Amino acid sequence: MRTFLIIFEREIKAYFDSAIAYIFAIVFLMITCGIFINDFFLVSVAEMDSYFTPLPYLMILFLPAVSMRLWAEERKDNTYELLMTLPVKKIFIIMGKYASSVVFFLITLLGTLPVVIMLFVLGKPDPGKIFASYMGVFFLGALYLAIGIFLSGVTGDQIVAYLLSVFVLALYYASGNDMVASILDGLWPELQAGTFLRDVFSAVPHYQAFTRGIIDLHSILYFTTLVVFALWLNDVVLRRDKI
Amino acid sequence: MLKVDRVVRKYGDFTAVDNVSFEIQPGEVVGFLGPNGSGKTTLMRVITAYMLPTKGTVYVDGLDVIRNPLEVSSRIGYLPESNILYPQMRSGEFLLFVGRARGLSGKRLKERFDWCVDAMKIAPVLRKRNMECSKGFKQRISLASALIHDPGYVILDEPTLGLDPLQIFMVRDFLKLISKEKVVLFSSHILQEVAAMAKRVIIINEGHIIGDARFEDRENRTERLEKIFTDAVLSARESGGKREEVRQ
Repeated sequence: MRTFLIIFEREIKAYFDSAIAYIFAIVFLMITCGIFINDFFLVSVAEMDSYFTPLPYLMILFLPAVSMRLWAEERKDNTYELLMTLPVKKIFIIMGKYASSVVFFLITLLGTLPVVIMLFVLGKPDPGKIFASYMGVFFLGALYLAIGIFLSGVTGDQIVAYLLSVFVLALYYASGNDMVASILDGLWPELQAGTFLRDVFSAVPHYQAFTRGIIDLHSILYFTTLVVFALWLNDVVLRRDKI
Repeated sequence: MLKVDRVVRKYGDFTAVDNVSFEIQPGEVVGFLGPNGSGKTTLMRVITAYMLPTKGTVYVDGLDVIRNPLEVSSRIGYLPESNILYPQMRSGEFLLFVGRARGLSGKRLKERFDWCVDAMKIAPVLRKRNMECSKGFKQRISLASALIHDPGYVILDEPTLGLDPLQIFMVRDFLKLISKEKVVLFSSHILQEVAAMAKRVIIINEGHIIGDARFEDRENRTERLEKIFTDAVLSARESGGKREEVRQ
């Protein structure tokens, strides 16, 4: 636990010590809020559906920029050797790094609170639905970051880590798309692979449940299990480096 | 005691370290001499539990590096060849980070921090970011971070790399100071450096130990080591890696 906190503290400071963090936060908020505000004044309904619907796609582009540095930068700066020779369990280092990226993302997400306040001032939105939607964003973001830290661990180049993460996340999220599912079903009708991927594997139905205002334990377990799996894979990659 | 027991380390089909064995007793300063790519860094990485040996093992205080990597790591202070400083961190902050990550806290951390700052003479740069420090200071901060937990075993990979002559003298004196009760193993590809700092020199070439020389006195040490090194390399070429034990 002590190691986790020490690593977490260093990593969170590292985020705010770099200009990239501020650029990320500003651009992310400008684009996500910009899209929403545009729709909001056209539709004039006090709800955030048009904020949460495109967010998973935008997060595919933005969150790898948060996770790409977590291991790739250590390898580039040669500090990887320092971390790997510390007398601590590597999983605590992974967790400290991962938690810092999640907290950084949450802090960025706090920047959208003025939008929520504005909705409550102008109308009567459903607070439960908004809260559940934010939970969905949190869980989906946490999963994206877990996949991102794992992929950052397999390369020493931050750009490669970023592109690899975007590619994998795009494939992963696309597996929940109805059109992609029907194409895959059409290719192998006897397997129904597209339907299987969309209903069982994809994050889309779970995220959509949150955005409808449903906080489902099944969805929470789904995201938590995948996060743990991705972090375990990260640990496997670090162990493999020693062999 | 540090015991390297028939260590083999392979990268795929390439054998970087081949069946290497030696022992080092506390109080010994041992220089690891060999050309670039001879396997020095790989062997040091195995000793520090950064890498696992393909065959054989290393014992530190009787602890097997394969079975007890964390316990072994806690006993070792390791300075890798490459710069290990976080560029954005301030030097003092970095040193405290390493100390805390190595389990120090409170009064003990402060004591060790003060000792390292004093021994390495890095007080002028404590508030500077690591990336703003000169190469010499960077190396000294790295060395301080390797010693912050007062390890019994000090493993230094090319510790004088990038230092000016005055700083090299400082490192030499410092190694002498700490070697009284510690095991010190350092590597270098510069023969004069090894001759000046070590009483025992292990010569490594193409992953094999080809010479193990001890010097009882300082007289003409560089010249004698030059001869031992040349003879060992030539002999190894003829015999395909035969080890030579030399006592001077």
